[in-house]
Amino acid sequence: MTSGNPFEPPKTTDLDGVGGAAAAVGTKFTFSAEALQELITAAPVVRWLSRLISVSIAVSLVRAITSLIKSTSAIFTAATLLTTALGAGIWTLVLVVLRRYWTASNHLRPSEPAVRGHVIGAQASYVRLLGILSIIGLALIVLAAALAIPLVGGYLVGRHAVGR
Amino acid sequence: MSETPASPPAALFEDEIAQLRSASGWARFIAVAGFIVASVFGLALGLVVAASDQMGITSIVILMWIFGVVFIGATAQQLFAYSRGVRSFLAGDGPALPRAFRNLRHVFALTCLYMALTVAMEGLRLLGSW
Repeated sequence: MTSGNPFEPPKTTDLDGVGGAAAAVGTKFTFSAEALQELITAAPVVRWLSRLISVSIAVSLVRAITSLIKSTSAIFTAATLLTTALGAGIWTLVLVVLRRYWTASNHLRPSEPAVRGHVIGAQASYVRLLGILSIIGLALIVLAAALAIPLVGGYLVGRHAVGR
Repeated sequence: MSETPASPPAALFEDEIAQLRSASGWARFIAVAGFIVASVFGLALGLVVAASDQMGITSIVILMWIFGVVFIGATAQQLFAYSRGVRSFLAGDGPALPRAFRNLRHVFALTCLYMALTVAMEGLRLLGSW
């Protein structure tokens, strides 16, 4: 039985397992076998995504190194280093959360509700991380647009004026 | 949706409900932001294509831009569906949760596809640069 307080910590009897009296102390929401099957089905996709992100980080690092070898400008070198470091850092964060998700979903069994909790927790962490990255990305897009619109506009107007 | 007798539905705990509610809220935020970004980038694509000759933008950049816009739009749609599914589940619609999880799986699959394309293109650019 729940008290109705959303901040109430789970009772110790909630951790004893599912079915019978233990399940009765959970919430009124039930987790169906179909939902569990969806989480299990997602595990290989998450694993492939983790691998692809790892490859992407490696490719971006190689690309940055080749750019640095060819670079003759200090500004270009600094910009390449900064963007590569930022990109690699962000993707590594995503990779860490995805690996946690994959590890938990790989151990999913119908008889282990604790693992199900880990998967739901990792899912929430992943979506939260994407949300935070979206906020940062939106801020960067707004900043880039604020800088690019006058620059590109001025460049095109200037070219048009010279051409005339 | 009927349940199999071998695996009866298990009750979710309060912390799991809280996690799902939080994920749903963030997913809705990302979806709305994604729709806005896809729209803006889609409009900007026209300008980029129009000015590609003047600004020296290559076709591979335009192609990656198109992939990016389609990916962001499709992912935003799936995340919106995930958020709606979780909210429906929390409102009492039990079968909405598997649908929401399926939408999230589609997000992972779409991201896989986008990452594969990005890696392939980066690889081609890398080979071309040598």
